[in-house]
Amino acid sequence: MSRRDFVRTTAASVLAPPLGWVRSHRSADQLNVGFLRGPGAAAENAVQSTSGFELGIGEARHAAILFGKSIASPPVSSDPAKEARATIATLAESGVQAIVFDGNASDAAAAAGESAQRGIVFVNATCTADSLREAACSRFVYHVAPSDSMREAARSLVVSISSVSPAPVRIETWHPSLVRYGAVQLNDRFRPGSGERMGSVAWGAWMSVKILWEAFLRANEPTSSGIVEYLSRESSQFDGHKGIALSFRSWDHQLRQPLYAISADETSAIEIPALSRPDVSTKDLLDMIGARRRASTCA
Amino acid sequence: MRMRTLLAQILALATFANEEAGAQKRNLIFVSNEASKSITVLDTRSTWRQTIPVGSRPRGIAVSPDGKLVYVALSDEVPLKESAGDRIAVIDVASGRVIRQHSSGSDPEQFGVTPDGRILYASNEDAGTASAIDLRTGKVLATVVVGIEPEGVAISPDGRWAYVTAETSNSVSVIDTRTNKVVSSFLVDVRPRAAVFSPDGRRAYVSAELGGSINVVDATQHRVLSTIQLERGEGKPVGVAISSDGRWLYVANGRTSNVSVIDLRRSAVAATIPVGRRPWGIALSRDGRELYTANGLSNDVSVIDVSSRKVVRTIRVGQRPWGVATAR
Repeated sequence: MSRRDFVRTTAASVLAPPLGWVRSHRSADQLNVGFLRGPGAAAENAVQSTSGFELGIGEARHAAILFGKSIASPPVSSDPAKEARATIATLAESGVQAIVFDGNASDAAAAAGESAQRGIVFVNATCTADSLREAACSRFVYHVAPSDSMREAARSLVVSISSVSPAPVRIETWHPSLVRYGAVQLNDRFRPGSGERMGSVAWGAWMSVKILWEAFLRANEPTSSGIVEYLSRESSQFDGHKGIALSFRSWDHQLRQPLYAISADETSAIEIPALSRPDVSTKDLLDMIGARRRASTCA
Repeated sequence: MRMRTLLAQILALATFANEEAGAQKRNLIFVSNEASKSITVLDTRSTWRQTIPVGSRPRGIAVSPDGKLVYVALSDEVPLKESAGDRIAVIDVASGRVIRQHSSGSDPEQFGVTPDGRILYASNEDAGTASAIDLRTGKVLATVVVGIEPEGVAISPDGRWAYVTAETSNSVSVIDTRTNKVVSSFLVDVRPRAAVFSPDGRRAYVSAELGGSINVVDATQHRVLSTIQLERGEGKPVGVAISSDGRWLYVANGRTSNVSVIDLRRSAVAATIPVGRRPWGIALSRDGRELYTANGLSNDVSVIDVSSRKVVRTIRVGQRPWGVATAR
């Protein structure tokens, strides 16, 4: 079985990790991150999300050596029928401080709620539903995937500035045609392990691990509480190879980030918003797309 | 016969003296043109110029401590493995020719040369490593793991430490040049690019492009002491150069197309100088009176008069200039 086939068939959950794994992976110097593909996750995203997550883990492991720390992920095996909530319980038993999620809105809501109850940091890599950023949000839930509001605002912005007829515009978080800000290097790092070109789903999973790892290294304490405390700081910034410092909005825990409008022939990507606005602060610039402030339970 | 020998010696001495005087008068700067795959050599005091093709994509560039050689990091378009295009080219300043090419490990981006001119430390961007290269034999002495996407390399004035920044892991790795081992690593602001040591070796300064800041590092303890924000945190610092008295730090602010002048006594920005578009490389002239920036999007070099803090000349170079170096 090829690696590609393997990740396709591991459509989802985590079975109980061996007791030995749990014992050997609990340490103050170690970040344990679980990867959860909900039962409703799109099958065609399996390679992208799994490979993005693995790239993130691999790079964090590389950097961990330098700091005398480590990162681990419980072993994944296939159990597509298992509910997201049950999987969270299994991951919690294995001692994870954080979970990276790929899946649909209903799975996300259930898994995020369960994670929050158990005090596990939940990073949503792919689900765009606005509801998750509002009623379903909590102190432990963060969103790397852009919300539907952000995507719609980006689409409107492109249509409003476009001189051509408003052809359907596809909005993405990432695209293999990206070149600037070290995008070529990231795309090059992704391709060998996955056999695919990096897309939005892969970027979301990779970025989720990167954010968790940096928060773990910089946090005052190496716990899930320490991580969320770092993520919630106004001064915390992250690099996603998008040419601008990314940060989380305090009111909905949404990652501020530029998005890309993809040309019909798939050869180019327009940055939204354009980053060449020195008169506007980084956060204000990124809040130009879909930063609606509504009642939220994030804090 | 004796008279002939004497005359020949006098002639030789006169020629040597003329060459020396010529070299003194000339103020050469070397610019790596990433897209043109060439090096532009300019004399800022005349119209003389030379273009040296180098075959691969040149980025990091530096002059040897004795001023006779220029080193250039070349890399190819093949990711994640070392190939024939990944090299450190050695240019003889006198002849303007590439006289040697050293192995460098995969995808060398920037490098630093020890003050004795013997060892070159290169960052291997796509491998997450740094390589130490013996410049006499061309052998790679050691390859060590550093952060993800390593970039800037700075060597302490006493030659003891090599600092290697890493853009993706936001880290600086400290290599002990006596053992060629990483002895320490520390986190800095987001997307660190370049580093430079103070002339006394007690401090180092690391630019953080997305952090919009300069991290001030205690180079005796290898830890960040403080952070200086540029343009209220909205600067995009890349290249750094420091004055010989250690008082002023000059920062090329890439996408904001200006240079920040930092007063290191006050840890504050004293001036901002508009230059060409997207300056990355920055270097001071030997006498410290001029400052040069390689402007990647306007394909030119800005010549700044340090005392007036104004651009006094703009010189066209090749396509997408990346780095700039001057003889020390």
